[in-house]
Amino acid sequence: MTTIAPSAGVPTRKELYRRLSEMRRFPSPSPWYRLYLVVFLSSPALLVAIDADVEVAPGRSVVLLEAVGRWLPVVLAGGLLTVARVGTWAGLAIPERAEVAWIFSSPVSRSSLLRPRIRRGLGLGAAVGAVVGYLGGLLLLLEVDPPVASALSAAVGAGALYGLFAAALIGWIQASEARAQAVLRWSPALALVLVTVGVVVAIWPPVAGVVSWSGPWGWTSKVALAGVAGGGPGWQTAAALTAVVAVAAAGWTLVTAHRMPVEELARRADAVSGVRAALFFLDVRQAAELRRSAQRTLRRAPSRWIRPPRRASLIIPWTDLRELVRAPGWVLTIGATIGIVSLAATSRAVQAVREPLAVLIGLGVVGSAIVTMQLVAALRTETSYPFADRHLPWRAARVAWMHLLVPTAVLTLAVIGAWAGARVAGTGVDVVVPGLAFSLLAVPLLILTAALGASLPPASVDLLMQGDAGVLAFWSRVFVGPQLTAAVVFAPPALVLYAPEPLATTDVMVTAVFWSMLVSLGLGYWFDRRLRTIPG
Amino acid sequence: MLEVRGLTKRYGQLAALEDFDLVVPAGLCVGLVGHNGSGKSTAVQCLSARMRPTAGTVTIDGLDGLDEAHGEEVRRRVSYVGDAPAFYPDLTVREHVELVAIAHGAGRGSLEAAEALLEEVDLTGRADFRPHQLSAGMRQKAHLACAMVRPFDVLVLDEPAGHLDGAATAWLVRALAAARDRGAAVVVTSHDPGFLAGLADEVVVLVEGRIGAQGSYLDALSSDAARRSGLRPVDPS
Repeated sequence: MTTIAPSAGVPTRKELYRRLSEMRRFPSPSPWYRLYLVVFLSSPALLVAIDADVEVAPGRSVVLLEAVGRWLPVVLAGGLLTVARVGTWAGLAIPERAEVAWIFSSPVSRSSLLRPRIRRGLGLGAAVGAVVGYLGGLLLLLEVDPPVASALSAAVGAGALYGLFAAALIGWIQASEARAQAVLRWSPALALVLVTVGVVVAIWPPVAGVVSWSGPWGWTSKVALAGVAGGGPGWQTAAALTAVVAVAAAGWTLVTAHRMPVEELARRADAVSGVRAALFFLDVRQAAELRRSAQRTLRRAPSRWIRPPRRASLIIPWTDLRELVRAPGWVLTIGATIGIVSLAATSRAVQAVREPLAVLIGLGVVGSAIVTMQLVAALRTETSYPFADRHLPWRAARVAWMHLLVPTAVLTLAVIGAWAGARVAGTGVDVVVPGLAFSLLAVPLLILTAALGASLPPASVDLLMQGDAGVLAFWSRVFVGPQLTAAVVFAPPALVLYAPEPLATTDVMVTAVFWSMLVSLGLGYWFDRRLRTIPG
Repeated sequence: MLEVRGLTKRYGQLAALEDFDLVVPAGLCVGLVGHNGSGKSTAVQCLSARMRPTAGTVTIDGLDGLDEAHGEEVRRRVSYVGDAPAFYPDLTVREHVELVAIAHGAGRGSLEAAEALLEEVDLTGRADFRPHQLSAGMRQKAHLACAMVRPFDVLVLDEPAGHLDGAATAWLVRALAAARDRGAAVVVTSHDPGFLAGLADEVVVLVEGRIGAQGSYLDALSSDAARRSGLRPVDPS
């Protein structure tokens, strides 16, 4: 039995606030742990500094810095957009649900309860930004040969300010339901604008100069690169602007803490605790569903500017397409995949490999598998809500197959678009044509493996802990797509690249086509059998 | 026409339905009544071919309802309203009704029909809401709208008046009577005899999975089986 010591006296209001503000504070780490962190985090920089005599061709450094300077503002703006969307369901200050119900409804100043949490969130944002800046600075140090101290301090400083601004942005969105609604409403259009800007910057580099002055994303990139490039036009102004905007945003978030509505705090507390619980049990599907559900309550009536088709056979694909347009997370994933592959293409690690194409193909396959898993979201919903189709005239298995039409079309178009982009960027026809052919062969494999994963129940932590069964469950949901695609579609061309004797291209193509069709048919049969076990 | 013969459903040792026979010709409304656990829901799930019985046959307009080969044709003919509404979480009420109407080939006027039905069930103001934003009664109305917007030959409803207010219940009675008058075979379960008064042409009293009484509204509900189940006829007026 727990015994409660008698209170020495009623606490003063100030004491009460202090106690409340410290309720959720983490225990301070020991000095030894702090020392360990400092040594651990700085060791790569020290190693780079020691290995500073690596010769880097000067021309290559200039090209690389110019490329990073051109793309970094777009990437950082994309990061802010992602953070803004997170701010629609999570937030800078998330109390527990019970705290919202009991403490926030009591006559205690809300800002006093929220400010310590906001300060902690802002500090965390700055720290994460600093670490990301530090890692980015390290990557640049591998390629360019600037003074280590100035390069890293600029990257860390810029990262910290960017992180602080991003955290303040989350707080700003959290403070108003209307702002969260606006972010949900306009972020797809903004993502499209960003992609367009990226394309324009690629085609017409002078635009990058304008983009770098267009907001905190551009100013931050100027500051970060100034340390590596040994300065740059107007970097001091950019640094001042970044600092002023980040600090002002953080200050404003702190000052207006009392404006956060209790209903919003409750909604976010529910969402975050649910997502945390789902992730604790490695139930990613449930976590994603809870996040979507939290965002759904904010969405206004969906637009009806396109009337649905009248043909029965088109209604399921049309509905899927509409849902993809409404929740275009996959667009961001496609962008991230292309970005990662592009960054990898310019990094020394890839250049050092005998055949960089193999690494790019690997990254592309993994990225495409992740995109495909998002594209089959409608099928995942169908299998998660098995009786929702009871008013439809088709069997559950047929409805499930119908849900694969739009993902297949979108992935096929994305593959064609990616290779068309590569051709426009100057890749030779001798690479683009076979690359496109092999990528198209990968489409059914990726779709069917993602569909199988979507038709399986979520992998609970209990299942994953079951030794071989757990490994099989995880493999069947996540890794089977990339592995099969790599083994069936891209192994034959890899054989050509690495074979000691030249192989006939026709033989390679025939082998790839034959095996990919055979495996696709097998996967299709497995998927169909699996669908018959789903009730509905 | 709906015809079931020797329908039996067992859950282990429990016989939820035993040797159940029923013929519902086109243009007739049959009410299934009984206390909780008497087998009403099991019966309507089996006779709408949503559940495979342990034994027996289900024939819908001459088609074997339990044959997988006829599965989709049966789904086209039978509209089923279960006791628990199930929706897609990401579609609005209007999108659900339109989806069902178009999927069943309701034709050129399907969108207009959907809109008219939403107005009839007083859901126009909530048409752009998602299911989780609705009350239980409104979800039931949306569920009924989905079942009514599509063409059907057989209409099977399990406790459809649950959660509905007086006005909505009155609309439901009118809508079921209209469906019957258009030539549909209607089967509806209820534990409220008042709901079936003036609607059901025939009433079946289920007791422990078996038919306890069958006949006109007054005859069936005046039987010993109905009295043992605590059911009494209600004056339709």
